[in-house]
Amino acid sequence: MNTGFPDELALNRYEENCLAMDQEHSHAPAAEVFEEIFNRYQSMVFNLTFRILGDREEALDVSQEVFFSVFRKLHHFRGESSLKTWIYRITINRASNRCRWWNRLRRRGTISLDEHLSKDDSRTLSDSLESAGNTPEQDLVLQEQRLEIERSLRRLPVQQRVAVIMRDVEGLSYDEIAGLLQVSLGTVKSRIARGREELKRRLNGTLG
Amino acid sequence: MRCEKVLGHLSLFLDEMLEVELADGVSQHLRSCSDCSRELGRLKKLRNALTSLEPVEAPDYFYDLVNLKISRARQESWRKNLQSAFECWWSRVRTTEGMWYVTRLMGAMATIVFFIAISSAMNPIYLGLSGQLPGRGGVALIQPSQQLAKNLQKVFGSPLAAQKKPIRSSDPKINDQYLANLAQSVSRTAHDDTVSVVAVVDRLGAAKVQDVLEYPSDDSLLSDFTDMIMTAGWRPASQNGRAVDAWLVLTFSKIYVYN
Repeated sequence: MNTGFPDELALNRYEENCLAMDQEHSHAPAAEVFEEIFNRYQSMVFNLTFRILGDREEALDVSQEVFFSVFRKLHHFRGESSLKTWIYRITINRASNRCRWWNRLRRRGTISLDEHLSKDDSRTLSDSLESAGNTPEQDLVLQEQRLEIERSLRRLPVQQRVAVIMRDVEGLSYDEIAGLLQVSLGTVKSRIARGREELKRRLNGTLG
Repeated sequence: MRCEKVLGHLSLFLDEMLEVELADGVSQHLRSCSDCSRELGRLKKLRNALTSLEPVEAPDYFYDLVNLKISRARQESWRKNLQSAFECWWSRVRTTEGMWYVTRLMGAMATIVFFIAISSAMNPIYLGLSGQLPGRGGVALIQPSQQLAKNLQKVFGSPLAAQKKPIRSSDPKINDQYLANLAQSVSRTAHDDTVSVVAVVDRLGAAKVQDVLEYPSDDSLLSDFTDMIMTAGWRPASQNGRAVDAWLVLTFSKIYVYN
């Protein structure tokens, strides 16, 4: 799932057009431009928020906030990084904040620990049976494994979770992660190593 | 290299992020240590499992939700723009001397117009007042429209002349001193008494007793008070600057008359 990001650091023609159009209409991006941006990045934003938050509804909510924020702030965007990097950063910040908010609620005892974690078994058995090349038993095992991994991911501390997702799910390099999170390379290494260690410990039986 | 140290470096070793010398050391250790190799294998499995997580699809209505949020925000921003424009204008008015005085003048005029409008809206119920005593309960009845012109003439025409009648200084004034003098002039009873009458004061300032609500035990006291009311100088009641007839209920209580 490596997106090649952010090898596109130089603004491509589309983004330049976006900026040009945006500067012409200094307060709000044209609807067509925004729609283009949405179509291009909606999958990335939704997937990232889903992986970080582990809940479809929450992910949808935060993704809306992300695009709303993009819509409002696009005229402040100066092209110092690529549009994708900028949106990526907004997504991570928003999703991380939402995670912290949930954690605060949990600490206060307002909600139970697993209340919103178990809602996400959105993929049905029939979905997994449709996978080509596997027997139903294998699909079932894979499905179980996937759910277990997602469950364990959600139980990681937010910072470690984000770092692991960016590295192993999104396939970003350490330097890119450090740039996006605006932390040192050492911090990124530490977060990824600890996150993986914790995941490995939790998935002891699943990984074999 | 010891196992604890190698296990701490496995994650970076897997991602080829270790320095060359350190990576060589880890590599040598892994060749000879099956436990650490197994841990590296598990770490690889974990990474592969994470990498192979399939992407999820956003629902079809995702764009509609975002659009809805934006259109709501646009409405709010319209209000905010209006509010900030008003604040900007108000700030300019307050800080520009000429505009400040003009605005105050306009405000004062608007206030006057407002009160005139309010009083005009409340007036019509009195326009039909024909001058005679109202019915029981004191509510004036509105006259038919053909009498309206006559009433208007009555209301706007004559009262000004009536108000011109000055109250003479020789007219007795109802005040504590007058009442004290009156009390001294009567010397018949020595107990508390009460008189309550309905008096009409017309637009010329003349008063007469219309009805007696409560009689005193001594009838002569009533006639004294009636004389007092009729001979006193009354300022006519006014309605929106015009003199009008007024009905008063006058009660004199706790009258103690010395012998």
